[in-house]
Amino acid sequence: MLSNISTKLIALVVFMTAALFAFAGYTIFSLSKVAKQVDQIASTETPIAQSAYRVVEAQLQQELALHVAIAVSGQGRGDLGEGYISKFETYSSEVETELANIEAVIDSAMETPADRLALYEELKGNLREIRQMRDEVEVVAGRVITQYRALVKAAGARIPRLSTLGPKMEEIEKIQARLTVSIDDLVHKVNEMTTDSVTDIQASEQQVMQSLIIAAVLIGAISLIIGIILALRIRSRLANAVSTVDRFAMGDMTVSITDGAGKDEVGKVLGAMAHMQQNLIDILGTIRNVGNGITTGSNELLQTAQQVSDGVNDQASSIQETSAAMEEMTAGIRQNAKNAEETEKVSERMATEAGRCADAMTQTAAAMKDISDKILVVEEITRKIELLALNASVEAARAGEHGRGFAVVASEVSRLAEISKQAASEIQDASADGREAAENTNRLLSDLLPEITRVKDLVQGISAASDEQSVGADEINVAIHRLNTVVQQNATAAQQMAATSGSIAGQGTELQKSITRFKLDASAGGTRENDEEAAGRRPVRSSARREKAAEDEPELDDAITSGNFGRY
Amino acid sequence: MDLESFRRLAHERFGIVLPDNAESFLRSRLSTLMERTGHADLEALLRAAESKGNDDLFIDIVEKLSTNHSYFYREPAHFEFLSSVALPEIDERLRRQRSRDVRIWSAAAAAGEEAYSIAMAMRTFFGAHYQDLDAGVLATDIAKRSLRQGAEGVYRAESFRHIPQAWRDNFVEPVGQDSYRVVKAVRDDVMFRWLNLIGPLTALRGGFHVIFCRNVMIYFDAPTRERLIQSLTHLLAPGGYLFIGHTDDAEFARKYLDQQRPAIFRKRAGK
Repeated sequence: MLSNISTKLIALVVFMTAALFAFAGYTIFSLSKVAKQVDQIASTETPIAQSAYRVVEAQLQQELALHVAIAVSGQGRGDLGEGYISKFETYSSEVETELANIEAVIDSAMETPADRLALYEELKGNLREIRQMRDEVEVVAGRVITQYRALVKAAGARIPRLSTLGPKMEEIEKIQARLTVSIDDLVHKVNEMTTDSVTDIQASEQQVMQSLIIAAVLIGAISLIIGIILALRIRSRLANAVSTVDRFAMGDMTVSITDGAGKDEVGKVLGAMAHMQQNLIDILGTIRNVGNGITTGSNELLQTAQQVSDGVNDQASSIQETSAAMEEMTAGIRQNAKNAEETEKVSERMATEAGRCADAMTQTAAAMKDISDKILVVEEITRKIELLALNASVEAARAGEHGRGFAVVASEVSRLAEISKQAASEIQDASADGREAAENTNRLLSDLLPEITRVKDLVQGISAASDEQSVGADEINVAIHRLNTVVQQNATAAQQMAATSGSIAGQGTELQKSITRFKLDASAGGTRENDEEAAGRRPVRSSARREKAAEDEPELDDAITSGNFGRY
Repeated sequence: MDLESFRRLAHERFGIVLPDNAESFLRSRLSTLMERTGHADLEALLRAAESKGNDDLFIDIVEKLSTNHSYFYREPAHFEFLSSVALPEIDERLRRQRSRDVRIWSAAAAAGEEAYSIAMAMRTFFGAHYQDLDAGVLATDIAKRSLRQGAEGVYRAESFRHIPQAWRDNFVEPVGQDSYRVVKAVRDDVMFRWLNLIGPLTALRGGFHVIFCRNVMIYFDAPTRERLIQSLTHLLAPGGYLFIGHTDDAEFARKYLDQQRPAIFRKRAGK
C-alpha cells in the first residue's frame, strides 16, 4: 500500500500517463499500419496507376504522332512528318520510362511486404504482356517508319503515297487496343489493390477507434475509481485531522493528534501540529508554572507583607506600650521630683529643728547643772534639819513626859530630812544623768545635723537628677513619636506591598484562569488545584475568623457597654 | 476643630490632659485610626469625632490616647499586700458579718491583666473556700477594644512573665504560638464593663473592699484627680483599700485616706 497521498497521486498520474502513452503507441502503431497502406497506395499503386495512364496516353500520343506524321506527309508537308516521327520516338522512350518506372515500383514494393507478392507477380506478368505488346508495337511502328521514310524519300518532292502503311497502322491499332486492355487490366488490378488498402485502412481505423474508446473508457473508469477512492480517503483523513485540530484549536491539549495519523502528508502535518502542540503544552506548562509561581510567590509575598504588616503592627503596639510606659515613667519622674522637693524642704526643716533641739539640749544641760547646784543647797539644808531634829529629840527627852509628843515630831522631821536627803541625792543623780543625756543628745544632734544637711544635699541631687530625667524622658518621648511615625509609614508601605502582592496574585490567578481554557494533562506544569487551594483557602480561612470575631463582637460589646454592673 | 478645642473637649469629657507635644503625640497615635476611618488629616478626624452622635469615634480616639500597657502581677508588693493583709481582713469581716460578698473593682482595667491577677490572687488565697463566696472582680475602662480583648482573655506570653509559677500552672493555658489564655473559671470571675471614671459613678453600688485604680491618674489634672479620689473614697467600704499606681500622685489619696504602704491607702473604719 502506498502511504503517501502524493505518491498515490503520482502513481495515478503515472498510470494515466502510461495509459495515454499506451494509447498513443497503439494508435501510432495502428496509424503506422494505415500509413503503410497509404504509403503503399501513394508509393506503389498510385505511381503504377499514374504511370499506366501515362503509358496509355504516351502510347496514344505515339500512335497519334505516327498518324499525324503520315497524315501531314500525305498532305505534302513531309518536312513536318519527320518531326512527328521524332515525337513518336520521344513518346516511345517516355512509355519505356514509365514502364520502367512501374517495374521499378513493383520491384521496390516486392522487396518489403510479403503478403502481396502474388499480386505483384500478376502485375509483373501484365507488365511483361504489355512490354511484349509494346515490342510488337515498336516493331510494327519501326517498320511503318522505315516504310514511311522510304516512301517519303521515294516520293521526293511529291506527295508520297502512304496508303500502303494503312494495314500496318491498323495492326498497330489492334495491338494498341490489346495493349490498352492489358494496361486497363493492370490498372484495374492496381485499383483493386488500392481498394483493398482503403478497406484495410478503414478496418484499422475502426479497430483503433474501438480500442481507443474501450481503453479510454477503461482507463477513465479505473482512474475515476482510484481517484474517487483516493479523494474519499483523503477527505476522511483530512476530516479526522480537522476534527482533531479543531479540538486542539478549542484548547484541548490532551487530544492525541498523532493517533492513527499515518505517514502520509496529513500525518506529517498532524505530526508537525503535534510538535506544535507539544511546544504549546510546554509553553502553557511554563505559563502555568509561571502563573503558579506568580500566584504562589505573590501569595508568599502577601504573607510576608502580612507578616511585615503584623510585625509593624506589633512594633506599633510595642511603641504605643513603650509610649504608655514612658508616660507612666515620666509621671513617676515627676512624682519623684515632687517628693524629692518636699523631702528637701522637710530635711531643711529638720536641720533647723535639730539645731534648735541641740540648743534646747544645751539649755537643758545647763538647767540640770543648776538643779545639781541647787540640790547641794537642799542637801545642806537637809543635813542642818537632821541636826536640828537631833537637837530637838535631845531637848524632848530632857523635857520628859511633856516632851514625848515633840520627840515624835522630831523623829518625823528627822525621817523627812532623811527622805529629803535621799530625794536630793536621787535628784542629784538624775540631774547628773539628765545632764549627761542632754549632753549626749546634744552631741548626737550635732552629729545628726551634717547628716540631715547631707540628706538635703542628696535630695537636691535627686531633684536635679529627676529634672534631668524628665528632660531625657521628653527626648525619649519625641524619639518614640518619631519612631512611631516611621513605623506607621512602614505599616502603610507594608499594606501597600500586601495590596500590590494581592493584585499580583490576582493577576497570576487570572493568568492561570486564562490557561484553564486549555485542557492540559496534570503532568504539564504544577498542581494547579493545590495552588488554587493555597491561593483560595487561606484568605477564606482568615475571613472566616474575621466573621466569627465580627459575630462575637456585638454580643460582647453589648455586655461591655450595657451599663449594667450587676452586683457591683 | 483645632487641637486646642480637642484638648479642651478631651479634658472635659474624659479628664485627659494631653501633653504639650500633643500634636506629634496625637498624630502618631491616631494615624492608624485615621487609616481605618479614612479621615484625611487630624483636623477632619477631630471634627468628625466632635460632631454629635459620634461618641464611638471620640471614644476610639480617647482609647488611642490612653493606650495602656500592663501585665499580670504588676507591682508584686501590691499583690503581696492584697494576699497577706487585705484578703485576710476581708475574710475575717465576711465571717463576722456572715456575708459572702467579696467586692473588688479594677477601675482602670484596660485589657484586664490586673483584674485577672486579682482574681487569681483571690482564688489562691481562698482556695476551696472560694466556691462558697460570691467573689469576683469588676473590671472597667473607657477602652472598649481593650475590654473586648480582656473578655477574650488571650495575651502574649510576655504578659505572664512576672506571675508566680503556681498561677501560671493553674490559671493559664497556651493557645497557639506565643499566646496564652486565662482559663475559663478565672475569665468568668471578671466582669468587663465600659465606664468613664470622669462621669458620674452612680451606676455603682459601692461598698468595695478593694479598689485598684492604678496608673490612670497620670492622665488627669489635679482637680480631676481629687474628684476621682473623692468618688473612690465614697465607693470604698469602711476599712476598704485603695491601690493606686506608684507613679500616681498620692497627694489627694493621702488627704482623704490613710496610707498603709506606698500607693496603698485605707479608708478609716467607721467613717
